[in-house]
Amino acid sequence: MPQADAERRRAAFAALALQHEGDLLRAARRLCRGDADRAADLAQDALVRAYEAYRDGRFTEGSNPRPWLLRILTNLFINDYHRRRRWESGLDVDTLTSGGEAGPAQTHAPPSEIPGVALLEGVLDEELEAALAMLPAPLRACVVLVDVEGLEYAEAAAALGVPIGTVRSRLARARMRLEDLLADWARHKRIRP
Amino acid sequence: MFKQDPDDLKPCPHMETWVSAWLDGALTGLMRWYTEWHVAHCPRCTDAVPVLRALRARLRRLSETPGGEALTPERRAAVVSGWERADQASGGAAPSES
Repeated sequence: MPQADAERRRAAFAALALQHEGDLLRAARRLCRGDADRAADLAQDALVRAYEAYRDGRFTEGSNPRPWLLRILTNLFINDYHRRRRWESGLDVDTLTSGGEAGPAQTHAPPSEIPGVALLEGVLDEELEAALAMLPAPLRACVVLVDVEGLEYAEAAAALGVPIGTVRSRLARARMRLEDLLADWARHKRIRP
Repeated sequence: MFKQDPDDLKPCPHMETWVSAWLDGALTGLMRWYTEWHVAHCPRCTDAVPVLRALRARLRRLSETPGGEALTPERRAAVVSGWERADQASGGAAPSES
């Protein structure tokens, strides 16, 4: 009976997808720069879109659903971002040297001190989240998918719809920008304890 | 001990992408060989590697912090309704009564 089949399919999908609900929300929150409502909307839409893909046979049974779900979430984020503003804001995000979508509030002078390993290990979650939020969205997405969520380059590239080489270069730029931001803040903390 | 030049603990600019990818195990063949050779022979990149490793590890720890992330019951119900509507729109079964 069609209704029973549909209910079984929804139940099967629920078992597969809802265990990754937290992963989706966490990634969405970081993509959306901490906006919890927008992140929840995004995760909610992703779970519905994913079900449609699942129903249409676009999920390979037995494969890891997590990268697949994150890919759907990221696609929705990019589409939504396009609607709100241009994804790369008219800038060549791959050659940005400063500023960007949400650059530092003031131009930071080259710090006289730089973060060492101990400093990075001592960075508070709130500071790291704030630094992530300051990255331009294309760079932030690479860090969220690879560094935080642990996707492979190929999985992140598929999620973002870009070549692996683009993930490689944007990830490096994002990491360098994060180092600069954290070093600058560490310097200001030492000046103003 | 901190160095005056803020770029001293970052890789050589022309090697940033390759050192970053190398730490991820994402390089193969000639680029992997060259990057390993360069890091082994370049004091600046040698010093940059542990800092970059620490940043990656710190970012990874963000995913391990229990965040208690969950959709509200209302949002979960909306998700399930979305699934039912998707089935209906595709000509599948009508939503089940709840």
